[in-house]
Amino acid sequence: MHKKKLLISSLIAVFGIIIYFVSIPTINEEDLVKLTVEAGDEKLLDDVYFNGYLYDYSLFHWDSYEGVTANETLPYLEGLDAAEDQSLRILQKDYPDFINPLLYDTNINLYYVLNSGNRLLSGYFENYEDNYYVDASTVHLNILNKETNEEISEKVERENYPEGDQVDIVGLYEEYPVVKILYTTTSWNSEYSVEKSNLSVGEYNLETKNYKETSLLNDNGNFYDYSSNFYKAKNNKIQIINYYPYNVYDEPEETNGSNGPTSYLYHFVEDTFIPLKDSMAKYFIGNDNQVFSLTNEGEELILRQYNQTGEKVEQETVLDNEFPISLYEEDQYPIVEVINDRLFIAQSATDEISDQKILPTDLQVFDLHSGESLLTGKIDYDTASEVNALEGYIDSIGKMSDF
Amino acid sequence: MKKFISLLSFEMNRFLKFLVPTLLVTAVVQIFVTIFSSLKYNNELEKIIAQGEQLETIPNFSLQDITGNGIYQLSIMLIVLVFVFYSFFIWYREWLGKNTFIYRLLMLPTNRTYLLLTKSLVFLIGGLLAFSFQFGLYFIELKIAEWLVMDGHYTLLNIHNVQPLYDLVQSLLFPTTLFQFISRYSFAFAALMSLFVGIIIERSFGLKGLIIGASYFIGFFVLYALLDSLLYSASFILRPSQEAIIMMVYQFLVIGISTFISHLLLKNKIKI
Repeated sequence: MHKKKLLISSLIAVFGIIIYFVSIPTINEEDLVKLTVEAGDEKLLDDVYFNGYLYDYSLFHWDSYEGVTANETLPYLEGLDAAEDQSLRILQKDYPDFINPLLYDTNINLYYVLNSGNRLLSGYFENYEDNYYVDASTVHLNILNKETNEEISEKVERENYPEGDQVDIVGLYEEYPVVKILYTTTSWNSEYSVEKSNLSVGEYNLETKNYKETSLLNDNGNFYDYSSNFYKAKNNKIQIINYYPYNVYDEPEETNGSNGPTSYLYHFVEDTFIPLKDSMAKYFIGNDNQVFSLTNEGEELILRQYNQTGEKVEQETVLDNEFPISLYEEDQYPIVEVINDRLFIAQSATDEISDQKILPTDLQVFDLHSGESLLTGKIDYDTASEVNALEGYIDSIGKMSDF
Repeated sequence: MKKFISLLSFEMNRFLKFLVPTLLVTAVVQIFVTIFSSLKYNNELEKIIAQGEQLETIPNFSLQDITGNGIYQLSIMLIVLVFVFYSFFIWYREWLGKNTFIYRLLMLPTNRTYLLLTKSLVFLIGGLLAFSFQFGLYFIELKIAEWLVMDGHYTLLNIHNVQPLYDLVQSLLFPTTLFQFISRYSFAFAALMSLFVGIIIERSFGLKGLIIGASYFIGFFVLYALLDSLLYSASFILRPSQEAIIMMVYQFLVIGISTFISHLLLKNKIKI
């Protein structure tokens, strides 16, 4: 009898642990992210994928072949190794030896991956060995021939590179044997927020090993790749760089020069750098190196196609949108992608007023030339409250067969 | 085996005298916070209704509003503190208590290593008991809050989501995968075993032992941090899963080595 307490304690401990683990819900991924086509042809979504984030649960990926996959539903150790970016996850499956060092080498600072036909390129900087500051003096380029599996690794010493606290690659272009790299070098103020930035372009010849670098622009503020996706870049001859004339954490009122251009177009082949005039437009690149913009004008959503310098409007189309798309509201986040001459727009939103509901992402697909609506749908999140998500949004759209 | 179970039962009875009151205090505090917070939320809603404002602007109430409360979190910390306190007390009471009980314990006609094993096993059972108790409390608190909060303003959370986002203490204590559970609790157990070795070294070698014992105990954490840092910055590339496995292997190695050292000292060196 004197062992009764030990027996009871042990039983409670063992059964408690069993109940704890048994009660951990098995997540049904189809309840986490549910895409519904309300009108139009579902086949338009064949070969298309959406990447997003279910706050504060997991990154997720949706495509018409596999449905929903989320990092958090993977076995724990597999989840630890999973790429945070779903485009990288796809690349990792096909080219593990090329992608794994980028993912797992902690000495590598931010990297940029260019998926160019039969070649895969990565560009990155490494940290100094004795601290976590980035060593801007050497840019590392890796080039994989997808067909022969042959890989070239180059360490390119940069001469006369702009001084700064952080350097990021915001564009890559290759036309063998030349590789061009767009850099943004930022300097921080005493509070570690961005003060000044420099945009520069480097050109490296893989055969002659010659390298030269030219500064394009110096200004207060930040420069960003327009799509903010460093892992699924295509070998476009043009790149759009967005410019924020103030620190993103500062109020816009405190800024100076906010009337200037907010986007620039760099042409890798022509080596031209042109400010894009309409500061209210959302500029993006089509699937065949076209320059487009979207603008809200009154009730209408206008799609414009420009010439290669972005200076002349070649075509203007009013989109036949089924539900409003707002480019300027703070609580709405539209992203655009052109796939097979169709314009995909996914507009996510947060419920700023009550902060209670998870709003769906509205999805619309348009014909790029006529502006006709081809498909409308929505993406709902955590419909069965399986993970009590607070917010869901789509952060990139792509084409599976690109990988 | 019978002697081992008897000794374990004896140690468990002694530990429960500390643990059960602590768990009861924790339960009282947490249930009080649950009732208080729920009623406070209702009062706020009533005020807003009286002022004619829109209720839609008020976020729903959930158990995260309770578990994020400072007093609530202190009640969980109280359990952790009792475990820390008792890990010293469980040994020193034998030497420094009224009857120098260690003399009788060491003279028992049984393997002296049982002393170490029963004392450490008591923490394991006690730890799992406290874990299960707190988990059960979550269930009761979910029901109380659901019952008290005004209809339509309560979000019923899954019992594994009751911790506020990014809450370190609770997310450390309540991992949702078996690997994380074993990893975190084996870290705590390895720390406990290092402390036990430290205490036994101190009891074996006096003042010199105090320095060696303290170094052994601190060394566990220092080596852990060094190994973690080494794996992170190593010239060879490791996957995060490989790093996690290596860290867990280190913890189990420390448990094994500590048990072996303690066994040797208890057998050959310990002073009464």
